[in-house]
Amino acid sequence: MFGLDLTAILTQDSLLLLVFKFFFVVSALLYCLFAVVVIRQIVVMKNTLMTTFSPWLQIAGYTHLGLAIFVLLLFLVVL
Amino acid sequence: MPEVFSSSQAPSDSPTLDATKEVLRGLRKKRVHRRQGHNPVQVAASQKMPDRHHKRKVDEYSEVMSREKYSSNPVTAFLTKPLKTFFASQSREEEIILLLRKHPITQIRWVLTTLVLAVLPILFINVELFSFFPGNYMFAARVGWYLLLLGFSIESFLSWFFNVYIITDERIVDVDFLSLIYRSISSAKIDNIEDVSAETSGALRSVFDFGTVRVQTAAEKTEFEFEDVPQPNKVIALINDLLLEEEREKVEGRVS
Repeated sequence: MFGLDLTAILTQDSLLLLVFKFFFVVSALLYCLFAVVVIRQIVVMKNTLMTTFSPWLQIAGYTHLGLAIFVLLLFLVVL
Repeated sequence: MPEVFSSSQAPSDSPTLDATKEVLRGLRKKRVHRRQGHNPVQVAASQKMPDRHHKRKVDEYSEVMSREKYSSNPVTAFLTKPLKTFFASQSREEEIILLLRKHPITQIRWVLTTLVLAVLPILFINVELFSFFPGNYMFAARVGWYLLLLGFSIESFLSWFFNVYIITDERIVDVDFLSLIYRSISSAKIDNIEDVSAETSGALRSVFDFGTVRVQTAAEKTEFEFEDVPQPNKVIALINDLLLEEEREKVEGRVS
């Protein structure tokens, strides 16, 4: 592509892959912070409007946070 | 010789004498009643005066709500008399009559966006542009993509679920969560409502029966807008019933 062997460049240049890995891990970390904010948002919303569905939303929030942490660990291990 | 006034001999058409006789007759009646145990206060009470502290249920004065059942499903846009639902700042005697959200059809945009974006990685799987990335990086990118989609879906649902319009027997409440960190709760008492109107424009709104209800008030927030709520005509009918009941309460001196 474009006259360059990108595959060769990427597989041989581990520094570039390290940069990508850093990008993925930092993004995952920021996303975990976002997931924490979502949980806080759910708590505030739940205290404003109390319904029978609110506990399920809280479970969804914690599940979302759990998935975010799992993805962060996945990026650290797999990449 | 001075004249002696005798009531029995006085002419019957004397107004002063007739008035005096009436007063004396009345006094005698009161004495008789008291002797016989007739307490005028008790008599009045037994004639079923309206209880000054009685608050009527919404079914008693609103024809619209009397036809509606109690809602047990919390994930709908039009909840009449919702069960086990409360909001912050709700007083003990206050009852939620109607809880409104935007019509579900208004959420179709983010639902379709989510579905399209979910399918996108499958469509681009064979694109040569990304073929030089190692397999584990492609896998990580796909996982990250679906995680972002999940976050987007959760945020969109929360925004729909918790942005509500509440009508109680005492006031109207507008709960707005505009972003992660911004919350706004506005309320106005029913007797501060001055004008109510509904707007249903467009084919989609006509077919699915949803529209915007505007409430003009004399409160700090002068206009409440219930955007894209289902059955706007029913909402207006309910608010009018509540306004009438407030007027009745004032006239009858009932405590609200």
